[in-house]
Amino acid sequence: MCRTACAIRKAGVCNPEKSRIRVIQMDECDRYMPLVCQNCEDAPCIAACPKEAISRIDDQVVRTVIDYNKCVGCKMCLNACSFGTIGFDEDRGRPFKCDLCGGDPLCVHFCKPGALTLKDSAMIQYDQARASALRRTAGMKR
Amino acid sequence: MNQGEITTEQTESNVMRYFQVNDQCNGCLACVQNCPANALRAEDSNANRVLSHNMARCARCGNCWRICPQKAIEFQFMLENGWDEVKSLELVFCSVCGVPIYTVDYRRTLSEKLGTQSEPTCSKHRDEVTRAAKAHFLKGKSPDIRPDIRPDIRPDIRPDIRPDIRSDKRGGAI
Repeated sequence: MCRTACAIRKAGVCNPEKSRIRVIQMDECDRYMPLVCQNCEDAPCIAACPKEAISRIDDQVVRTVIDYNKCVGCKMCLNACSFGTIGFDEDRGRPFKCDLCGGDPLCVHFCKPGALTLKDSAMIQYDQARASALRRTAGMKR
Repeated sequence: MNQGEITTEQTESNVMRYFQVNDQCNGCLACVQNCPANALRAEDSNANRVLSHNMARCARCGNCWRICPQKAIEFQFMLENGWDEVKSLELVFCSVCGVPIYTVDYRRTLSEKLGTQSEPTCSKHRDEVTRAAKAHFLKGKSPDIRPDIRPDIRPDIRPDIRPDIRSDKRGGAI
């Protein structure tokens, strides 16, 4: 659902291949894992781009965006990304990536089990610490 | 002249295939006279008459070919709609599925820019994350994401309790 919703909003077509979100399957442990652009702080795609078309901006959320006026479609960013989360639109000859929908990602709304949420990367560690603290206190009460 | 020599060399090595003049040419220069775009030029230097063609000026009208009394101009190459190979580079293949991803030279450019060299993989098999996640899950280090616990009843992601604690006690609890 998240992939279809993303493709419809971002590419205007009902084709999950054009989605900015990827879901990888891990057969060994019987799990799926969604993957989007990690908006790396020291982003390899920014370093690799020969036209300086990729930059980090901070409007609603901190994110890495592609300036399509500068992009020439050389796919350097695709091959530099260690997560493989930049896709390439062969019809338009240009790459695409998750831009977090400007702070309100559609995939989050469409994820039925509620597995997707948008969090500030600085807060993730705190949330995890809090969750484990909650588990510990729950154990003590028992 | 210098430029004439270059053109001759190119024609011989078949680099410029579009406009060719065969051995029938006797240097009458009717083509030069009749070219509406001034794309043909002749120069008499030392002992030779050198005929040059300028591809940028040429309008592909075929006038030279039509009027040449010796039928020496081979204009059909320009009308063939063919392709000339201009470069051939060695490919690098995905180490998992074997699809061609980029060239050896592309890989060099990329590693120069990034300062690192990683295994060549297509984006579908860019599995550094997958491997890390597998290692993580197989070790069983995360009891809070067991599939038997439904995510909507997990206490740590309940939206109703999260925001206020996040905003008030940030840093204090850690």
